[in-house]
Amino acid sequence: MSTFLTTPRPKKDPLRPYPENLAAQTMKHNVPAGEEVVIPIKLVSGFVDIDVQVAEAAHATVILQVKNRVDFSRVQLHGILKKDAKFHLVGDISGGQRIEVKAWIELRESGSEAKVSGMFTGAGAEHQGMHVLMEHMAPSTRGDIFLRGVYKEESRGVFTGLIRVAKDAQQTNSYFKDDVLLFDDALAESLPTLEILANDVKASHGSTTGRVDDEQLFYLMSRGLSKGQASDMLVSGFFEKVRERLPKSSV
Amino acid sequence: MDRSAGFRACAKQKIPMPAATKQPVINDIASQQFGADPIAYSFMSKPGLSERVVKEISHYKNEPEWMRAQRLRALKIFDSKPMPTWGADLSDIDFQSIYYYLRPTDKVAKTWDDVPDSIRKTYDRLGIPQAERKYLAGVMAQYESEAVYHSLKSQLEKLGVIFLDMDTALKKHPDIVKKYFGTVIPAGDNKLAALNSAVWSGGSFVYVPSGVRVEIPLQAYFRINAERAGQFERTLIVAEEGSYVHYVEGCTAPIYTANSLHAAVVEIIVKKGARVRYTTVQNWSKNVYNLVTKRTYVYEEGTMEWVDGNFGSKVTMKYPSVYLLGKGAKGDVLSLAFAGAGQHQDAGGKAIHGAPYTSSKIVSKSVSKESGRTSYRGMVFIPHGMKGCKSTVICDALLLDEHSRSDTYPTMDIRESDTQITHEATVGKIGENQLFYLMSRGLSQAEAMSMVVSGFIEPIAKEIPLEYAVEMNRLIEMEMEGSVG
Amino acid sequence: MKELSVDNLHVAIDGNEILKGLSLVVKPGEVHALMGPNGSGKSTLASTLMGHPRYEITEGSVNLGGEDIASLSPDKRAKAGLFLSFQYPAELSGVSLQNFLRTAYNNVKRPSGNPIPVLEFRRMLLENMKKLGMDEKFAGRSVNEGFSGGEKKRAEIVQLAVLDPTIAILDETDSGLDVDALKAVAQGIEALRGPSLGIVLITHYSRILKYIEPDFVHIMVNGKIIASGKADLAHQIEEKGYEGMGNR
Repeated sequence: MSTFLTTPRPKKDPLRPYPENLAAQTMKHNVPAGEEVVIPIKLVSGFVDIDVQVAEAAHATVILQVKNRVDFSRVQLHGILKKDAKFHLVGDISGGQRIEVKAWIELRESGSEAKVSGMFTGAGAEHQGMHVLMEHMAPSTRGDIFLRGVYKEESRGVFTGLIRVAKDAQQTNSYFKDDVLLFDDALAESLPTLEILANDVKASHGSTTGRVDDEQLFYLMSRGLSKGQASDMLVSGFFEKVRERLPKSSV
Repeated sequence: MDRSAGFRACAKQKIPMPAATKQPVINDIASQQFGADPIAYSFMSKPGLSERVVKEISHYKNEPEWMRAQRLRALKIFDSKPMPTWGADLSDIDFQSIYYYLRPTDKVAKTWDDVPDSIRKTYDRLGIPQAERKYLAGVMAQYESEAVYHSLKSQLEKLGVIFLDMDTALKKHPDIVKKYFGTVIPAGDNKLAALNSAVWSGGSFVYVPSGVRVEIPLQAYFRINAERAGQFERTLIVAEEGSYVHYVEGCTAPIYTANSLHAAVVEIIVKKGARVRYTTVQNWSKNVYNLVTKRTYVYEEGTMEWVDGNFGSKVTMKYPSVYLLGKGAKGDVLSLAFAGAGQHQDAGGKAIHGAPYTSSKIVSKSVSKESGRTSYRGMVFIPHGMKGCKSTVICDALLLDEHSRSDTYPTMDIRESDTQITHEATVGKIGENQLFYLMSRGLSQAEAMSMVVSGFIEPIAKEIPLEYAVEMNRLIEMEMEGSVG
Repeated sequence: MKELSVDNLHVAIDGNEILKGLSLVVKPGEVHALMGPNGSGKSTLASTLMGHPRYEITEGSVNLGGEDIASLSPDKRAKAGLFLSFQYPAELSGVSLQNFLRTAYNNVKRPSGNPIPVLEFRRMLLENMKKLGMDEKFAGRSVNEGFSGGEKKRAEIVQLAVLDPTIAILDETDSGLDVDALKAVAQGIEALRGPSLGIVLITHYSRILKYIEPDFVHIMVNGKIIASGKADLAHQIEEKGYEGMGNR
């Protein structure tokens, strides 16, 4: 694959480095015009490059999941969307010494739409990252990125995003939202960035990082839930907001 | 203060300029120190930077040895550092063609005809009196207003407040200056800070004793009789425990200068329970590179408020920072940026939470039109163990037409779980519905646009002192008219 | 008999003392109205009794059924039979009302295991919701998210009915409600009134007292109870206002 465009990153990489000699593989998926396809992908160790071409008016959903334990994994997904194509990238990630998903989505033709939904859970000393470059190159395109992560103990999460709207991509709507809940000694870095060269657009991003809200904990505990139960319930509710966006079959 | 006080404020900010082609006339104080060369200070009055220039500057100012040594060390650091590769495009800066120091005695000969049309039109539109226009454009000598200054001076003396230009402060209060100078922004911080540390001149020194509240804003223009090599100003503000001061610098009227580099440094120390507000309204002419390092150390229960308005310059790179170093410290950065054709405003703020239970707020509002570009660059850093901190960042950008551009580059580096951080940014254009509504009530398109833009920036504009705010609104109106075909 | 006994309670938040020696005894079967001007500390009392972490008891005691509960975490107080209806109930995005309440019910009502079957609980929940005039659909929605003021307060009373406590503290349950909602909520409370439930009805206005006649009325000013009496005391407030009471 030629150079994979990616997002601006923190000056110093907070995640542990990949070991040498990781296996590499590539996958290609072409979704024909007008077709609706769901592509579940099990995360495996090593570097995986995925190329997804979504033809005119086609609808593709890629679901990245961790089924078996994975230590080091990096997915580089390059999606190219044609006219009126729709693409939904779903990531349900847990574990890993370093698991990263990089997505570069090109909305090349008008009417195309891309959604990214990510649910990340880290515990122990696990490290994870998600980086989404949403490139709007044509008018009337839409982007919607929603990532949520919960990090406990000494785990780490890095979320970066770049929404780039080209000069000709007028009438574009694009959003990036990432929320991280932190517990114990966990760490998170968030770099949501925007480069907007067209003016008749709506582009925004939001990012929150913090711990579970005291008032919500108190409310649940006052109804008899222990602190641990209350916390678990709030974490589950936290991910529920992302799950709501997923196609019914994948939940 | 009357309406035009704001301009008189600007008038004090004269930057002596050489005409591009004329050699400045040099009044010599001959000195044998530099050897056989009969013309003393011959290097510093020519363009270019070298150890000799720095030595001459320090010698001319009659500085203590320790300051000269600091300048020379800084020069070495400047030489060793590369230019930043991030941010705006600085490739056009030619350090060897810049004048690093001009004495006030250097006469400047230039005529009103040399002043660019756009600048003259702006003075017209902003209603600046004729005499002041010539002054602002560097066509005539200083314009002063003694009376205000003297009454203020005696009030401040009674309170024990020191407010002097930096050069005089170095002479009169060397101990205090030495104690704090370079402690917040050392020369090694970045290349432009190193440059400033080597060739600084002018700027303000403000010292407020414990418990003293200075109720009137201190304005840069009060420093008369100071040297005004405005491009490398060095400002230092020290607020002792429980004190309060508001410092205002800048000018909405464009400052025309042929000198294309403004590399200032502002260091502020806010001690326990003290509060400092620093307001800047900048409108450098559109050939200037405005590269400024501004930073505060805020101690326990202290509060720092940066209010930063960027209207002029070709390129501005400025990220007022708050380092929250004591429990309960608070820092706010309110940043306004306007970028018209050919301008790049790269601004934002940094909040470093170096103590638990600290809070920060960064609000950035920017407007770009024609080929203008605004970029927000910010950083919120919560190190491990800094519990109970809160930070909110809001950055909104308006793009007025299809040629303008806006970027947002924030970083949230959070290494502590007991925290609440939020960041929001939006980019868009003026809503058609809003425009239609206003125009249906009889406003022209330009009036409607400027009303919407004023409303957009209102949360920050309301923090800017009234006289500046009034001129600022006029500036915006002007810009809006310019952009409507 | 599980009575709530508050003795000379001093409470501070962020170093400021709000409750300055408050005493109160509430027995099951009794309805105590607690009235007072804004800032008198009524909500502070409610939050403190339930164990809100930000409030610090600097002096005095809180006992439930003879047991000191001042050092118990909120969930343990719930298990001991205490319930708080919040003035501003928290919104719990993504947490459904039925799931959350069933977990709470199992904790509080079935402490030794033997959890209630899901369907049985849902039936009980819907029954109680119907009594409060709440549409079924609220059972599956995120707790309080997007609920109107009236819906939030009804949901609080539904939870009160399901969790069946010994002492219930109702913090300004009547504030922000329109006539219909107030009536529904008040009737819901009145329907639960009985010999095994003690109620502390915190209210600023006396509107709700038209539907629920209290057994006792206490007036709270500046962190203390300055007057106690029977239902007619509430009428005096209506006539004279709180100012008029201050000079007793």
